[in-house]
Amino acid sequence: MKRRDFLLSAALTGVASTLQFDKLEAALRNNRVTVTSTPDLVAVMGGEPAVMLERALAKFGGIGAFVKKGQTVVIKPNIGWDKTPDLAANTNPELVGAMVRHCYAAGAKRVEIFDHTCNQWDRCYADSGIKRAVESAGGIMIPANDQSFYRMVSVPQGVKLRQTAIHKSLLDCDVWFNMPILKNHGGAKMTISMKNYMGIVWDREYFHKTDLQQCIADVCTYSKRPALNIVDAYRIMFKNGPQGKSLADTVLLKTLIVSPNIIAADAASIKFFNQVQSMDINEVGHIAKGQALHLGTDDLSKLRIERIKL
Amino acid sequence: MKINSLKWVRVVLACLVFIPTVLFFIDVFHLMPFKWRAILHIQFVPALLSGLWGIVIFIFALTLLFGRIYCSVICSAGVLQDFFSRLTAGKNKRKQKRVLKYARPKNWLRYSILILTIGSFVLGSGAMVVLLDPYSNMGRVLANLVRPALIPLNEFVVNKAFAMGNYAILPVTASGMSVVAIVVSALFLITIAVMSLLRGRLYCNTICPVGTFLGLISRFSLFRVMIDDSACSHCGVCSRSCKSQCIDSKTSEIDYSRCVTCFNCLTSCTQNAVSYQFIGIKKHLSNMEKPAEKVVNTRRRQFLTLSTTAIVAAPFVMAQTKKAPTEKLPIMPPGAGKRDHFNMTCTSCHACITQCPSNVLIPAMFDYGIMGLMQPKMYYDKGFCQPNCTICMCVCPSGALTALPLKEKQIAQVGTAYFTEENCVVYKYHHDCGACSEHCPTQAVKMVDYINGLMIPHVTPEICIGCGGCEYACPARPKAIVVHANLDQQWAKKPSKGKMKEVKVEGFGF
Repeated sequence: MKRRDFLLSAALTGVASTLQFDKLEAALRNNRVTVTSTPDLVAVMGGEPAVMLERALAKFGGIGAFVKKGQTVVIKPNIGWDKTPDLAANTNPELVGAMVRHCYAAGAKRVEIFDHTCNQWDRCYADSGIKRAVESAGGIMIPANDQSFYRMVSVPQGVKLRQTAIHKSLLDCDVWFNMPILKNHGGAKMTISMKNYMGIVWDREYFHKTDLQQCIADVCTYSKRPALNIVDAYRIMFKNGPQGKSLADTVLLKTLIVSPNIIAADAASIKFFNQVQSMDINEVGHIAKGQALHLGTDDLSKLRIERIKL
Repeated sequence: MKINSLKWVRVVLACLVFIPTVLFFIDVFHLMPFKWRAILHIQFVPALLSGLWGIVIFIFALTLLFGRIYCSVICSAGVLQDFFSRLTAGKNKRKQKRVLKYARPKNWLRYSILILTIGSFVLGSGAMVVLLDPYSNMGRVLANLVRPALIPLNEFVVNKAFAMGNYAILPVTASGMSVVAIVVSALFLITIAVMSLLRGRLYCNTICPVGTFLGLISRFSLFRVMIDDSACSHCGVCSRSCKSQCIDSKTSEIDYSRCVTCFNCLTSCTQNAVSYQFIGIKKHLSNMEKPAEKVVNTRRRQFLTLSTTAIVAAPFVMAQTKKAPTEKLPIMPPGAGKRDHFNMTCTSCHACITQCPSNVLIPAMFDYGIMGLMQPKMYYDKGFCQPNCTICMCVCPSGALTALPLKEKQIAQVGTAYFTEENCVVYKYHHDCGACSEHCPTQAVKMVDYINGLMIPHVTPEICIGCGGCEYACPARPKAIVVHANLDQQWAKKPSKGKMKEVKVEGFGF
């Protein structure tokens, strides 16, 4: 009996070690368990940002599926540039404000917003309109312009990025949401959900120096994943990104793409973007590298997608 | 007028000017509203250089009416010297740790310095103005010695505040400092400290060109400190209280070219013989005779001293070689205009350096030549010039930087970007970067197709404004893209805006 038991447990162990629990692990870390009836990706078109967000969240089971009472929430928009909202360099402030309201409605104790900006941080926070939208919804803007706000963490799954300093607000919160704006990017080709991670780290220069596309994919493997990737495509920048020169670089599309799966969110966004300005997913190196690190799949045919037109 | 209250009025007014001026330079907690920078404009040398004739005339009139009240109320270096003086003056002016007594004016020294300063300026060098202007020296002392000492305090307070979840106070990093600036500032501080601890307003009456110049006018001031001969007992107490050492109690005479109207003497007199009054016409004329006598006697000595110092200093003044345009040429801040104008008008007060929110200004050493000692230049190690910021130009009190409107600043070209492909990360390692182009506000640095789907930067100098975003962001060492200075500021071509794209998107595309 002993030998049989031993062989059986050895076999089971062998089988168990080949199982991958990425999805379960990611889900457990984000307060929810994937239930087969919720979609993998929701795309909404034709409404104002707050309305589209409401509809998208409803498909996922409402904000309560992600935020529990008394929790600390971080929303990470793109606030990188000292530009007004009409120039589509930063996430739409109405969208950010709406998300803050949802989180508080779910009973969150504290909702924090930050970004490690490229231009002067207080100007970015103010001129993007995000500070006003957030504070009028009761959210708190946290500076990210000083190294003292960051803490070193390890990124064990990274290929070229093995450790980096990440903003303490994100490290210490209960749940975080990734809220990029859809833009093209001179360096990384596109800046969507994965590239938006660069605003949570202190040392961006390391990324540029050490293989930008690989480091973007690496940092996305950090153990604390966003509950949702909410891609703002209300007004996008399709050329001269990420900063843009003028209104001629922008186009109003009134769309929102939401997914807990970061690769799916970015892959869908690129396909959407491709209708305005040609962009092949293979040009955007960090997507394939992200897939190689098990961050998700870009094969949208395998996913449950809900499309809503308002 | 009551004798006691005059001095306190002077003290209060001096504080009202001194405190905001000092705070402006050392404000690491961002407490001062930006519009209070106007307080810097009432300083004499900056007002003169920037052509604020209203202020210049105001100071002239003030001096003609009341004497060298500027030196006691407006000049920050003067107020600082008064602080030092207090330390050695002792509580009772009659009993002092140091002994002040009447001293003969050192006319040969102060007038030759004044003539040299004006003369070298007229001949094309502002070096003496930079080194001797009291406002600029104080600015440098505050910017290079005091402010950096406050940064650790800011750090301490900010850490405590962040720990409590309060983000109202912001962390500040030290603004650009250079060794020359620290050394020169320290030398000035030590000089006036020693001079004022030992001999009161010695600097003001021997070296300071502003003081000497105002002294030429204050000789004729209509209100002045006067000693009533009939009441004076020639005890000498007033002499010992005079920081300018200008009261000759033996003859009951005051040298009005050196009196800084501090009113310390008014309270010292035991016989109430010293008062501050409007003089009648007769007395005015009779007082004028005496100074004339002195001038005649020392004229020869003055001439000899003047000519000797001029001959000795001439090579120093003439040695203002213009730097040929090379990449090592220092980059002037936006609004500087022509290099000659900038070098002549900037007095290196460092107000712009302390106010720059992006830490792109640093005092040059000898980059601008001797006359440009410590004048600000751009450096892109710690930041880059923000496209929507005009702070340095608005702060400059001497008009070295013209306050351009934002739209003009956004095409003011301080230099142009220069790309070295061999240093570029894309060239060396064949992976994407794009940090430079990302930071370029005009897209003068644009990513163009390279090989294998990679993109590499390409510079269009005509639309570059030299803001340094590319240089700051470049991760390569040595840098693959740097800004080369323009000799004089140019205007960049406005980047083409392009037409709005008419796009109709019906579906999601997936």
